[in-house]
Parts: sequence; C-alpha cells; structure tokens
Amino acid sequence: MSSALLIVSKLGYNAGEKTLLSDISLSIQAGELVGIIGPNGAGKSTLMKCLSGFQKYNRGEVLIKGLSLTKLSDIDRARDLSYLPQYSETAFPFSVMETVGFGFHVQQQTQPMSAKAIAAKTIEALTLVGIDHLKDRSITALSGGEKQLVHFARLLVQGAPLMLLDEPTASLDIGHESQLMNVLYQQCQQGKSALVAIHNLNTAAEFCDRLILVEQGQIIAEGKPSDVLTKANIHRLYQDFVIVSQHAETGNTIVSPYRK
Amino acid sequence: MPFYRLTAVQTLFSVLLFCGLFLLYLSFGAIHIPISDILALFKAYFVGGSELALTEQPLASAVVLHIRLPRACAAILAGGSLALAGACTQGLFRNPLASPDVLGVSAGSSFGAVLAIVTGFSFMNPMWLPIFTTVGALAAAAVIYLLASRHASTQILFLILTGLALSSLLGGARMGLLLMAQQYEMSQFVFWAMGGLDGRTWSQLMWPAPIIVVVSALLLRECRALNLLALGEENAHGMGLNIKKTRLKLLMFSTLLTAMSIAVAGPIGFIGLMVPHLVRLIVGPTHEKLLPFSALFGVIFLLACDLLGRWIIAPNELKVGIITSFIGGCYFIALIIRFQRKGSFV
Repeated sequence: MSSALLIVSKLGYNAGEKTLLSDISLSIQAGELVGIIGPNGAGKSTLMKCLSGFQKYNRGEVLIKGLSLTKLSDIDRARDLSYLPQYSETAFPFSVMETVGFGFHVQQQTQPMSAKAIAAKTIEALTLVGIDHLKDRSITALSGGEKQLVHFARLLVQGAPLMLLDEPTASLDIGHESQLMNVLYQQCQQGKSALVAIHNLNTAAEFCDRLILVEQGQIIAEGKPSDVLTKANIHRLYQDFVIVSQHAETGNTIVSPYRK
Repeated sequence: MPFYRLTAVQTLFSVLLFCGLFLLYLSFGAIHIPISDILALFKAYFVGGSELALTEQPLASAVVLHIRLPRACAAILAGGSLALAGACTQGLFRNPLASPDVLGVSAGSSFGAVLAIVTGFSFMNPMWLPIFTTVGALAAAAVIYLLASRHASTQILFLILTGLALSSLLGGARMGLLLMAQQYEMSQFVFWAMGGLDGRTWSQLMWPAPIIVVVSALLLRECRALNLLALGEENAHGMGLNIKKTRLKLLMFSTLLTAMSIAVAGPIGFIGLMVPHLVRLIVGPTHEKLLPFSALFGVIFLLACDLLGRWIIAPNELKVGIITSFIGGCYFIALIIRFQRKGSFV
C-alpha cells in the first residue's frame, strides 16, 4: 500500500449542514484504471473536486505519492495530478491547438519549450484522440462532445501520472466514448493511472480494473467489476428500471434499461 | 497567411499608425506647427536639451513641449491603461464584455471627486482632485473585494453584486453631497465627470505615470494565467494555477490601472470595454497578443478621439469623454445587431 500513487483515508466533506461525503477511503496504484460509479447525486463529482484539491475537504487526508494534497503547491500538485471537470466552458474562442497547448503549463515551469515542440506534441495528442482534423477550429464553435475530447487531449499533454476524469464520456457518442476509454486504457497500460467517474456501467465494466460504488456520499462496494456490478447492488441503486445479464462472448456484466 | 507573419504585419501597421497620429496630434491646433519643425525640435532636444530646442525652434518648443506633448502623454497613459485594465477584467471575469467599471472603481472615484470639490480641497490646489479620486477608487475596490471574499469562495458573482451594491450606495452619497453643494461646485463636478485631457501639465503626470508603467509591465507577465483562467476555474486549477492568488493579483492590477487613468484624464467611458473586444476580433484571444495590442490600440484610439475633439468644432474643443462615449455607444449597438445576426459576442 505504501507505494500507492493516491491514498485517501477517511475523507469527509460538508456543504453547510449537509454531509456530502463521509468516511471515503481508497487507494490507487500505478497502472490502475479505476471507475467510480453511482446514481445521480451520489457524490461522484464532489469526490472528484475534493481529490483534485479544487474543493477543500473538512475531514480526512489525501496523499499523492505520500505527500499531503493540502501541503503541495499548485504547480507541484498539477505535475502529479491532472483533472478534467465535468463541464468546461471556454470564455474566448481559442483555437483547438492553443487550447491543448495550454496543457504544457506545468512542464514549461521547469524547462522552456519551443513553439515547434509544443505544436508537434499537440498534434500527436490530437491524433491519439482522433480529432486532429479539428486542430484549426475554434473551441467555442465545437459541439459538446468535441469540446470534451479537446480537453481530454489537453489532459494527456499535461502528462501527470494520475488523471482524475469526471464523466469524460457523458456527452460523447458511443464510438468516441470507446475511443476515449481505449486511449485511457492504453495510458494506464503504460504506467499512468486514472480515476474516472462514469455513468455507463457497461463501459465501466469493460475498461476498469476496479470499480468503486458510491451512494449518498459513502463507498458501498469496491472491487473487480464482476464483484461490484451484482444484481443485488444494481437493483438497490437503480430499482427495477434496469436489467442485468451476462455478455454471451466476453462474460462481462451487461446492464440495460428495461421497459416495464 | 501564417499567424506569426500576420502579427508582424499587424505590429508594423499599428506602430506606424501610432507614429503618424502622434505627429499629427502635436502638429494640429490653433497654432499650426509643421511636422518637419516637430522632428527638428525633437532632434535639437535630444542633442542639446531644452535650451538648444528653445533657441532653434522657439515657437514649436513653447507649444509642443509645454502644451501638446504633456497632453499627448496623458492620452497615451490613460488610453493604454484603460484598454489594458479592460482586457484584464474581461479575462478575469471570463466575459468578453466586462468592463473595469464593474469593480466599483468609477463610483469610488466619482465620490472622491465630489468630496474634493465640496470640501474645497480642489480649489486650494488642483493636484488634490486626482489624489481624492485615486483614494476613492482604491478604497471602493478594497471594500468590494473584502466583502465579496469574506468566505473562502471569492466568487465572481459576489464581486459583481457587491460592486453594484456599493456603487449604488456611493452614488446616493454623491447625489446627497451635490445637493448641498454650491452652483459652481456642481458645474466643476459635471465638467470633471465628462473626462478630458485639456490643460494637462507634466507635473500632473509625474505620479500616475510610473505606477501605470510598472503595473502594465507586471500585468503583461500574467498572459498565461489569463489564458488558463479562460478555460474555466476548475480546468485552470487542474493545470496548476493558484486561482485565488491570480484573481487577487489581476483585480489589483485592473483597479490600479483604472484608478490611474481616472487620475490622469477623469472618467473616460467605453475604452476598457470596446478596445480589447475589438482587438480580440483582430488578433485573436490569446493574451500574449491581446494585451500588448489592446494597450497600443487604446493609445491610438484615445489620441484619435482627442484629436477629433480638438478639430470638430475648432477653435473650441469637445471633451474627449464625450467623443469616446458617443463612439462607444455606436459600437455597442453594432455589437448587439451583430449578436442578433451571428449569435455570438466574440
């Protein structure tokens, strides 16, 4: 456990009187792709905000590479931890190239980078995500899904070993959803780690090494997808509006909506 | 055309435009000074100081060095700092139509001006007026920031609302003071409130100038922070920006620049909103280009407006604040029509 990239112990967060997170403990090792699942309002986004340091938590401790999140400077934190929020509204019409290029901010703190090097690495990331054809477009003119992919590419160039992604696939079509998750999966195969809040349980089961099930601000199950996505757990969370079955080829759990 | 070449052309064009306008500004007036005389005057001044300039070009020396050049410098300082403050505020508020007025600076400075006038300080020495407006502007901005950031979340919305509330309070207090004021005090305030550059002397520019230069230089180092902030606060945080510190810094810079421009030229409307907005349409939104070009175009715009004000009803003058308000209003209407057609302000 001591080698874990991220250790969260007994994290709690209150907004006023209301307890939004309580007693959250988890850890992420290098190379792991971990999914956070749970119904709307379970506290997934709040947990992401707390772990990213954007929202100050009230109780518990978050350690990144053994150092407390609250004691790290912003630059040091961003070197090890990158964060993709659920909604990103860009104020001005930057080009896609410029937007992704801003992701090099942390690296530019230690060594200056030439515009040429930035452009080359930006194109590389855009190609990986499959949106290199958008490179000269203005970010404000893109669709919601395309914007999300641009910000994902920006996250990749930041190069942090641990990535927090808050529902990165929410506005993507199924093809792009699969592409994004595949890129993320490859990144984790190469030693990076990711914690992803995700709504689509099938995608979560397919790509994640581990799932963490959150309900009402608490972790109620954690483990391999097949252990977490049990009929009992799913019915508890989503009542009888969904049906759980087994994929004929992969044997993975399939959760689908169901007309009563 | 590649972007860097476009920028080179834009830079060359803007600098040439500025130089031409600057010479025309110095040359035009009740006493016409040919541009060749102005160039000869500058040459003499740099070779042999003011004495040589006075002996070689006595008329140009008197008119240009003591009347028109300080006025031109006032236009340069006020125009540049207003446009920079506007670009900074728009970046800070993540809104292409924000203006430094939101920060309560204008209300604070107006209250300061009325106070200086009704207490009689501005009659003892005209220098007191800009000092009162500066103190008023900075105090108002400080109160707004302290109120808005009492809780950990220094949310932009709170800043705007507190700014509105304090502006309303100060506006009421100002009206109350004016009600008790004498007729001539009232007209002095109205005259100040129009914003103008007439009668500026070197001594009036002595203290705002270094502040404007230093703050502008510091602001130009925050280009990347402004870029990151434009992607949203959560994204900027994720990329390693200290949101709270950056926001405080940017607020201070735009407040100081606006307060100094008011000290130099009185309240001049619309430059802070219009110039950065227009420049963004021309050179694009990255702040490395937007900030310097905004400063340059703010200077060009104010010089041009003041030249227009001196020329339009010559030998009388129109206050430059009237011209900028008029052009600004037209620009705003054009923007609204553009928005209705294209669906975007940027």
